[in-house]
This record gives sequence, structure tokens and C-alpha cells, in this order.
Amino acid sequence: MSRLGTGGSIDRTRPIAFRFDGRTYRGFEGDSLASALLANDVRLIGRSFKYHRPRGILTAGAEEPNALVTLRSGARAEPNMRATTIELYEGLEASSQNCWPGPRFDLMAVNRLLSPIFVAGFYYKTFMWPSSLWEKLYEPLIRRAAGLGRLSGKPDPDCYDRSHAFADLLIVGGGPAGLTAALAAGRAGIRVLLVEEDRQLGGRLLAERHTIDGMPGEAWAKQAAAELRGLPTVTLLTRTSLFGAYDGGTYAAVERVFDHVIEPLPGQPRQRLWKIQASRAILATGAVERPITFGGNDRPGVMMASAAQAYVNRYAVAPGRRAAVFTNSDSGHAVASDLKAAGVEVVAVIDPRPNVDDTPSGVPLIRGVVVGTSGRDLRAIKVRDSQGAVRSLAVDLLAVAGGWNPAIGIASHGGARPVWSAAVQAFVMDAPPPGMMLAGAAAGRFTLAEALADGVEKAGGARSEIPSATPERAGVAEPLIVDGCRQKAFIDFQNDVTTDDVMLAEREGYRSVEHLKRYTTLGMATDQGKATQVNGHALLAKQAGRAIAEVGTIAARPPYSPVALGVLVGLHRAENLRPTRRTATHDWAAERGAIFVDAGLWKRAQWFPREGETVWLESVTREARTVRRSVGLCDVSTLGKIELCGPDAPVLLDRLYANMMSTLAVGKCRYGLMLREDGFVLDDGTVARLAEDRFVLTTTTANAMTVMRHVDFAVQVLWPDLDVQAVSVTEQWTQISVAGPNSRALLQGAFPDVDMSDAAIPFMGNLLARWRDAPMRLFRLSFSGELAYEVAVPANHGDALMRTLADIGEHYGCVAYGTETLGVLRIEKGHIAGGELNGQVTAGDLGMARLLSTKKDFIGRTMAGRAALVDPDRPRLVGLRPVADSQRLTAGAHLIARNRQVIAAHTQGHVTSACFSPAMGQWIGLGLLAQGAERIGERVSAVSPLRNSVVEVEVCGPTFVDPTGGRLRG
Amino acid sequence: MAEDVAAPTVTVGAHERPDFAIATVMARKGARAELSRRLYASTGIALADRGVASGDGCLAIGIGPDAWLLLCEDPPVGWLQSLESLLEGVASMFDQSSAYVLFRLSGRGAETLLQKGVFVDLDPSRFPVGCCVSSTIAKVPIILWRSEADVFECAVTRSYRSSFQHWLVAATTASGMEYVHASVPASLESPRHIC
Repeated sequence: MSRLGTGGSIDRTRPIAFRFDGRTYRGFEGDSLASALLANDVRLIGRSFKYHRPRGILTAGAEEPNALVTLRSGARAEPNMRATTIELYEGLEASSQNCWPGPRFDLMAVNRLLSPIFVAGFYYKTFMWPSSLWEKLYEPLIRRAAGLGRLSGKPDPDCYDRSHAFADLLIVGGGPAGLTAALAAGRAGIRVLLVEEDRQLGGRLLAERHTIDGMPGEAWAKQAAAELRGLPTVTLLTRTSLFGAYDGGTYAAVERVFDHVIEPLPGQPRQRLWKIQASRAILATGAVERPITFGGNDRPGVMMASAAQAYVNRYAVAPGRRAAVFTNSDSGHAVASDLKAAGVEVVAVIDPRPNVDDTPSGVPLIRGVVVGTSGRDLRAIKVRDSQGAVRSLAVDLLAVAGGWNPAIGIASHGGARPVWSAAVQAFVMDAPPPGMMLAGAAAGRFTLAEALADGVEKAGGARSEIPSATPERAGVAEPLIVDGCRQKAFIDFQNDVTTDDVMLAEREGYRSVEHLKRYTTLGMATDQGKATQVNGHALLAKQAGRAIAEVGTIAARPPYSPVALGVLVGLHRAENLRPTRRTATHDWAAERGAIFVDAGLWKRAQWFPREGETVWLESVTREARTVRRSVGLCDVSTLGKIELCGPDAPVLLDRLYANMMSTLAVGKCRYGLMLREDGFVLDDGTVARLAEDRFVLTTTTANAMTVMRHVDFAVQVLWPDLDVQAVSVTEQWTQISVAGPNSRALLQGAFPDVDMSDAAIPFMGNLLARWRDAPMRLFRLSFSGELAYEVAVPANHGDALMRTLADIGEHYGCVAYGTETLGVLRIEKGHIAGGELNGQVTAGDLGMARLLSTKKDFIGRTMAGRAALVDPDRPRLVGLRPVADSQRLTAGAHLIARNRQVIAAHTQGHVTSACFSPAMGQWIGLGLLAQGAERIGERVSAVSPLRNSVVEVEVCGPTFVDPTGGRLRG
Repeated sequence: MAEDVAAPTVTVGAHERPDFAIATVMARKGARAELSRRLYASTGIALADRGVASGDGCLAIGIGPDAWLLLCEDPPVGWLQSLESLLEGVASMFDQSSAYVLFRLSGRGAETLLQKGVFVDLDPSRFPVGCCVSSTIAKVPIILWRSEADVFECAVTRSYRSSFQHWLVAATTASGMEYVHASVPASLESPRHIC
């Protein structure tokens, strides 16, 4: 055990048992998985992506590239979780990744033998030829090898929550700068939201030994947190990672609500997505320590100095027994002191800087660099001193401190480019997006005193609020890549990118950091190269003989840290992917065993199977036959309904519709065709005049929203001078189609007080009445070609109306019918619907050129006259009937002249709708066929390459049933 | 949320009120002033462009330029028709009594719960009593207003009722709140405050 006897923020009274790779270990409340593993002397966590090299724990934070594990098992297994950020909990279960059978002995490490060919651009160079093998062999192979960890492949049993937050000041990061900023703003009564990814506020104060206002740093952080909790305008969100900054002060964060338990309680979320709106934001995200690049720098036991410091100070774990510190910054020397104070034997501090003569810790100083390492876990390092002499030091821990990278990724989400600061030897953000400021180490103010002061200043606090801190020297260091190493020197640990790869890329001409990134995958892993990629850019600059300021660095993109798709999806999965809209008669239909179909968001009854019916066609045929012989009921409430009122309503309707509407008499309905501005058909429907100044129009279900928008645009933008008001009343009315020869009798039975005679309500008439003290609208409309009505009542009465009609209808053998039968009836009648109204047809194509009024102007009139739109060769609406009665016609089939080769160039149109027609006793269809009107009687082939079918069809008129319209006039 | 904050309790009442009359009222061209005058004289409602105005057991919610949703609880018989006569020539009226389901959400956690659903700042300083907004919750179109400090009214587009309820239950549970399907009728005793 490497657990220290005293110290740390762990709770030694609360031991925790957990499992890693099948073995049980013990840790304490307050441990991370990484600290608990180190305490149990587990230093080998997994294998690397490309070369399957043994990897351990490099950092103590979210920037961890190496210690990636699969957390939990079964359906809850989550790959690529950073052991450094996983809170230890009772029963935690984790396993190593990318190794088989295990991390200590990994057969897949055979990959290393191939390392000479796994160079930058390997795929591009290797899988060039023969090109025919790409789809069959190369791509599948690459896909199999890609990725780290494996998804469970099972449905996620957990749920995810969502919330919104608003703040005057968003503070990202609860370290010293974030805390002083929050205190200053909170005390001033500003609405503050502070988000911190750790469970605890304090940031590096928890990992380093400082004194603030005379008390230990950690105690000061606790006191600050307590004060913040007491401030009424301050909200604290811990365990919350801000992962994206978007336009207009919008941010996104993930709160790990119950990630630290085996299983959340039922209904309680594992994670919560926060969408945040903030007038201002302070990025107090601190800085990430930068490694030094040298041979063998990826060996378990090589660790960031700041991480080693966190393990001894916060977690009371000695990450090694015999250590050396390799640093070119002053912060490395402080770590040597902390390790020593914790009882770790520190044999040397290796620092190449010529102006450093001693170490504050009293540890022997070697002026030089580390050039190599040995051991599966670190056993020894090779040190080359300033004289060039190389010696070996036996150590099991090498703490590396190569300066700091301000954590500015979120500031560049809007596209702002970081710039190089010679003063702090790092990329900084000098022009963050509007409303955002950076404070503390994120702004390059690395010492504690600077960070505390900067937080207060950025939040607009008074100087008197700045706490006093013990002075220290900033950990500024140049990026260091050690020359002359024999072993592989890794720049990007997670993607196994080495110095050789970067140099090769530069030689091959990839001299922009963005090209380098894509060619070598540097910084493209889930850690986004937070700790490591600046060294790659420094090496690129060095190779190209340019300054790093000139080479630059990449702009980070969201998410700043990995986000599970589950939390982005939240509630909206499976049947809740989208909201559903239910008609008022939904329950009635469900009781009758309706099969429902999605029509946009609506659930519509598709057909109503009866006992003994085994296939849908049986039900639909029965429904359609019954409607033609007797009567049927269908809920058509989903069709859009727009009501217009006002003295100029007739004028507006004339402009909206291609045909004349202003002449429509009160009590009458008229079919209407709407064109788009470009002359093509937008939608069709009916218009009913309810009063002199009141109309109600219907749209197709699919275009309800589009037409409403179109009407609003016309009223508000095109003709604001018109005095007409229009609103959607789709939700207000339940509208039921009652169709069939017995429809009048049925309705007369239901509404004995209403005169249903042909005189009172003739074909295309409407009637206003009352039913059960509610308004009722009756329309004599027919989509089926039968005597038919549509009855509308307020939706609160919809269910009752449907039940009443069904009860009375029983006497006539009335059926409920769904959208399938609706389709059959209208195809038989030759009425157009969605299949024909595909956005590419003109009125002429549909045989409705005569509807285009010449007596008035209307939207689309001019453009409808374009040569291509009136071309006589355009496909026209026709009826189609297989020559052989038994053959099935399918929608979408191409229409090709008989005996012509079946190629796309020979297509003359297509089948737009098809159904089995009970009335005709065979399959029939509607289609758009070039010069169709002149080809009645001709035979063409309906070819469906999808279904591999060729059906010979006869072209006929589109109206199969009752072409003279005698039935619907009843 | 901060660990030491106890989950607030929230009471959620869900009522579908068939006897609740709702109408869209839109001013005729140039008749806004006359519409306001007649409505005020008859009902005491002082129409405002935004927010909720009330009077005589009715509410007028601004839903757009020169457009309001009028709500009346337990309306007298023929309320809509009499209103139509009252406003003849100055406004177009459309019956929407069935187009919405009214939910009342009340309790200390109501704001927290609704804030999870709606991306509109509900802090009392920004969304005081009488404030109203048209927005979406879990992709469901809603009209939301604050009728008392801890009481919100939410008019949900009728056909989305089940999806809204699904969100309501899921969000309440996810917040550790208690969902109470209240049986007391939602009262629209209304704020005089204009947002």
C-alpha cells in the first residue's frame, strides 16, 4: 500500500471497496479511482491505442490521456472514462481497455513490431491501391481497429435530465480565481452561477500547500464555499463540467448527478444537461501542466509533477517510493518539496536551466535532461547532464514539470485564436468572445496571489477583498522536447503520436498546425491534447525554423470534455424521440384496436383490424367496401384548419388561392389550390364561408404549419394594409368525416333537430348548428366520392361525438376507417394527396389548369406562366391499371414506354399513389406521366427496381369510381 | 445542485377544464384603442401588449402584436357570443376553448421545475407575477404565466397533452420532487400586475 498515514482530504473513517479488472481493492471516501488504484500500487491501467504500450496514470485531472477505463459493466458500462475524474464509490467496478487478456500481459502488443510502418499518414499511404479493396477490405479493417473501449451495445437503462440556468455572471471553475470572483460578485448582489467539475470547490488549493489569509489553502476554500452558499444570489453547481460556449452568451454543461453511485434511484438522472444563459462569463479554468517530451516518457510511473503533488497532498497517496523530478519550471521544485515532505525519497531534481543553482527542497540538483526510461513500470531513468554525461538513476516515479498551458479551450469555441505569450511561454487568449473574461491561471496569471487578485478584479470587486497569499514563483517554462533520445518520445499519449511522426509530417509538407493535426491525429483524441499538443506545435516550429508564435495552435471546438450522447438526448428517446399529438378520438380508436401511424407528430388511426383479419389488406378492403355500400367514420382533425375573419378576408383569400374565393357564398364550400411564389402547387384544401366576414380553410395534415406561416407572411408582410385576422384553429375542432350512402341518415339520427336535407345542406354546402350546447359545423365535403359530410365540434366534445356517431351508425353497419382506407377511397376517386403534392407539380400537371383564375392576381400566378411550367410535355396526372388484374402496382415505380430499355434516362414519370381497389377488384394507381392526358388507353411499363418488378399498366383517366359525380351529390 | 440544498416540494395540479372559455382576440386595423376601451368598460381588463391583464374573472394574455388570448373561468352562458357582439367591428374573435389544456403548477419548487423545461428566465426579478411567455417545454408548445409568487399557469396545446405530462412526471422525479395530481380546480384569480 502506498497510502500515507496522515493528511489528505480523504475520509479514513469511510472505507470503500471497489473492483478493477476483477480484483477487489479498498480506498476511502474522497478518493478518485486513480488515487485509489495508486494507493493499492496499481500503476498499470491499460494499453495505448496504436502500439499497445503499457500506460499508467499521467495526471490527476480531466486532461488525462492515459488512464482510460471502462466504468461499470453490462448495460451501464461506459468506455473511455478517465480514472482521474471518477469518484470512488462503494461497489465501483472498472476494467482496463485495449488489451487482451489484460494490461500486464497483452497479446495485442504484437502491434509494436509493426510500429515502423504505423507512421503519420499510415492509412493514406497504405490503403491507396487497389482501390477496389477499399470498401471490401480496408475500410472494414480500419473500422475494426478504430476506437478505444467498447460500448455495451445494450439500451441505456439510465435516464438523463435537463435544466436551464440564467445568470448575470457565469464563473467557470471554482479554484482560487473563481472563488474570489464569485465572492466579490456575490457580495455585490450580482446573480452568479459558479460551475466546478470537481465535487469540491478549491481547484489547485486542494492539491498544493498554500496559506491564504493565514489559513491553509484548503480551509480557506471551504470557508469561501460556505460563504458563497449563504449568499442569496449565488448558485453553485459542483460535479458540473462546462463543455461548450455558443453564440449570444449561451453555454452548455453536464452535471454528474448520480455518476458516483452504482445505480441511480428509479427516475433519478445519472446526469443533467444544463443550458446556461449568462450576460457575462469569467473563465477561471486554471491551467494544465505541460509534459516534457523525452524518450520513454509514456512509461507508467512517469507522471505530471502537479499530479504527483495532488496525489500526496489531496489523496494522501505516494505515487512512488523513490522519485526524481524533471522540471524546467519553478513549480517542479515545489513538487519536490511536497513529495519529500510526504516521505517520498526524492533522489534528484533534474533541471536543464543554466540559471538554477539549487533546489528549495534540498534535493540534489542535476543540471540536465532525462533521455530515457526503463522497466514495464518505471524502474530507472537515464539522465544526461549539461556536460553530456549519461547516468542511470533507479526511481519508480518521475515527476515531470514542463510549464503550464492556460485552459483556454472554451474561450476559443467561438473561433477566437489563441496567441503565444512570451511572458508565460504559453498560448493565451487575448481576445475572448464578447462578454467573456479570463481570470487567474487561465489568463496566464500563474501564482496564487495573482490568481486571487485577478478573480476579484475581473468580478469588479474592491482591492480590499483580495486575500493575501504566501508568495511563490510562477511555473513558467519553455516547451521542452529533449533531443537525442533513442526511445520513442510521445507527444500525444492517447493517439500514440511521437516526435518522429511530427517531424515526418513537417518533412512531408504538413506545416500548418491544422494540417499536422489531421495528418498525425495530434490532439484529436478525447483529451483534445490539452496537456500535450503544445509540445507538438513547438516541435513543428523548431523543425520548420519558425517561431512558435508564428506556427500558432489550433482552435478548440466543443465539447471541451467528452459528453455522453445520452445526456444530450435526455428525455427524447424511443417513443419519446419527438412529442406526439393525439386527436380527441385517440382513446376511442385505441379501444377499437386501431393500428396507429405517425403523420408528422400526429398519431392517426391507420386501420381497425377486426377479429379474424390477419393482414391489413383484409381490414382496409372491408372498411372501403363498407363506406361505398353503407357508411364509415374517420377522424380528419389532423388536417390544418385556419380561420380568417375581417372585412378583407375575401380579398386575402383571392390572393392566397389560385382560384376565385371572394365569390363564395355564405353557407358554401369550395375546393382551393394554393401556389407557392415560384408557381408550383403549395397545398390544396377547402374553404368554407361561415359568415360574410368569416371563413375557415383546411390544409393537408403535412402542410398545416407551412400554410399557416404562408398566411401569416401574406397578412403581416405582403399586405399589412388588409384588415383580416387569421389564426390556426386546428386544435380547437375535432372534425369527423362521415362518408357513404347512409351518411345523411346517420347524421339525421344523431342530430334530429338539424335539417340534413339536400336543400338545407347541398353538396359543397356548410351549416352552423349546435350540439350539446356547443357550436357544431357541418360541411358537405367528399374526399371519398360518396355522399359525405364532415362534422366539426370543439375538441373537448370530440370523443363524445365520435362515440355517438358510432353508436347510431351501428344500425347501418357503420365502420371506423383509418388513413389507409382514406387513401384507397381517394385514389379510386382520383383525388390528389401527399403523393401527388410533392412540391414539384404545377396546377396543369394535376389537370387543374382551369382553376388558375385569369380575373385576379394571386400568389404564384406570374411564375406559374414560365415556359418550363407550361411545357405540354410535362408529366400529367393519369390513372394507372395493371393489364393483368392480379398484378400489384407499387408507388414510386417508374413509368417507361414498353419495350424501352429500363434506364433512368427513359423514365417518363412515376406512380405517385397505388392501392388495391375493392371497387375495381384490382390494384390501381395514380401517376404523373409525360403528356399523360393524350395517352389514355396506351400501355406502359411500371418498373420498380427497388422491388425488382415490372408491371404492364394501361393509362386511364384518374377517376376510377363514379366519374360523373352522381354518388357524391347523393 | 449544491449538495446541501434540500429538494423543494412542488405540487402540480393538472386540470382539463371543459367549461373554461378561451378565445383569440385580434384587433381590427386601427381599432386597437377602441377595442381596449370597450373591453375595459365591460370587463375591467386593461389590455397590455405583453403579459397578463385581468378583470371580471377573465384574463387577457398578450400573445402577439394586437393579439390576445382571453380566458374566462366558469363563463356565463353565451360569454363568447356576447363578447363577440361587444367587440363587433373592432376585433376578430376565434373560439379556442378546446385548443388548450390548462395546467396549474404551484409550490416552492414550481419555478425550479418549470425552469427545467423552459429556456426563459423565470427568476421573479425577470418573470414577476403577471409575466407571460409563449415557448416550448420538451418540444411541446406552451403559454406560461405567473399568477402568484409560487403559482404558474401553463396552457398546453391540447393534442400534446400526453407528451407534456410525460415531461412533467419525468422532470419532477428527476428533481427529487413530489408530484401531486391535485384535484382542486385551478383558479384564475388573477394578478393586476402588468409585466
